[in-house]
Amino acid sequence: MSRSKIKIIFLLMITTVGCSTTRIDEEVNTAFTITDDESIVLLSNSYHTGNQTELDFMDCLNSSISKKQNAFEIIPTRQFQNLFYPWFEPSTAPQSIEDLPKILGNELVKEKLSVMKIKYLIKITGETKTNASSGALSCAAGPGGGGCFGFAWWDDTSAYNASVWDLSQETSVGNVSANVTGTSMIPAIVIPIPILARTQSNACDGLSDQIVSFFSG
Amino acid sequence: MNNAVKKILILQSLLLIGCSSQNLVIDTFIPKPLVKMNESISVKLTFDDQIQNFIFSPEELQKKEASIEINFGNTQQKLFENVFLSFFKLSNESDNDPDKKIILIDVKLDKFEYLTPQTAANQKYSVWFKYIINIKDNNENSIDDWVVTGYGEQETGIFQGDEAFKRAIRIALRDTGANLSITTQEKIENITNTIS
Repeated sequence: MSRSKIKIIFLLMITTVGCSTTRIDEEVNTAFTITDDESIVLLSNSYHTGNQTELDFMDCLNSSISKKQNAFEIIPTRQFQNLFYPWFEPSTAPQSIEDLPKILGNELVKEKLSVMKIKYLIKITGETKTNASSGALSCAAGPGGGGCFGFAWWDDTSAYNASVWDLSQETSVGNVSANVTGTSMIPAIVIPIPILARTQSNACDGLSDQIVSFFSG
Repeated sequence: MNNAVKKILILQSLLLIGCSSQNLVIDTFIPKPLVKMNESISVKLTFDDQIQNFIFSPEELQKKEASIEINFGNTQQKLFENVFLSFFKLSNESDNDPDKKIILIDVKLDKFEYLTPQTAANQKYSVWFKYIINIKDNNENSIDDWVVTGYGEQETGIFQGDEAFKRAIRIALRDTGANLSITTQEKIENITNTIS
């Protein structure tokens, strides 16, 4: 096989496999508004309930929303949890909208939320999972050098949901979800070339875009 | 160097490697709880030895799986002081006012357990704490006994070395503080009524 053919095959692999598919959904339940001096907070559901939303996904979402708009403030999750400790920890935070009145019944919590003008709490659920993997890759090294040979691939799905809660009305005003699937692969002929479908990063980007657009009306 | 000396040195180095263990030092930040201070009650706190400068060494069974020594220092003590002193004032030894309401709180570590990725055959560290807390009035009459637990887990993921284990311990301690604050908040009325 000539060098140009090999190059074409590699280029085809990169362009056809290294991409992912994103699906975004939005559902609005009631009318809502937010002004530039009001804030939102992102909070993930607890691992106590089986939720496994990754810390780096939450960090990505916080910084992505912060960069993409200046129509409202976003209080970083950890800062919010420290200020309101112990009321929004994994084991104590409200897990559903029905749990909100119990927390908001605490005068100290309600007063601080009002002083800090925190209007919406966005509950994040979901995770990135590897659905299937296959192939084989082996590497060897000797005195004369080393190398790898083989082909491995896997399918990832990043599915996340953001539920927007109005803290003053104690209602859910809407939901946004992002579902990204992608196939990653590592072909190796002497040198392994990882072609990764960045599903989690794409989900972060898609969900943050959608949350920003949700509040932009 | 003759062969015998070489053999001894090799054996000695192998033994030394075999006996080496991980040493974790735990220090954590627990925020001040957002709770109402009860000005009318003062508290005297006592802790068992496993809370003050506790160093955990694994038992024989665990040693076969992973030899880890965990130095908690006074982290646990600071956690309990932080929570209780957000609800009550610290009782002063020299304060002998008979009308002052004082409660005695004794904290004991009942259980500290953990699972490593090797022992649980998964990709995370899981940590549990269980404490027994005895509340007494100033005449040492028991008012209440609480069991407070804390749980933390951390995927190994992006973390290097022991960092995931340390994070799981910190999360479990923070969870203990949260559960303790909620328990105290719920039971404070009962305590106030009893000592009144």
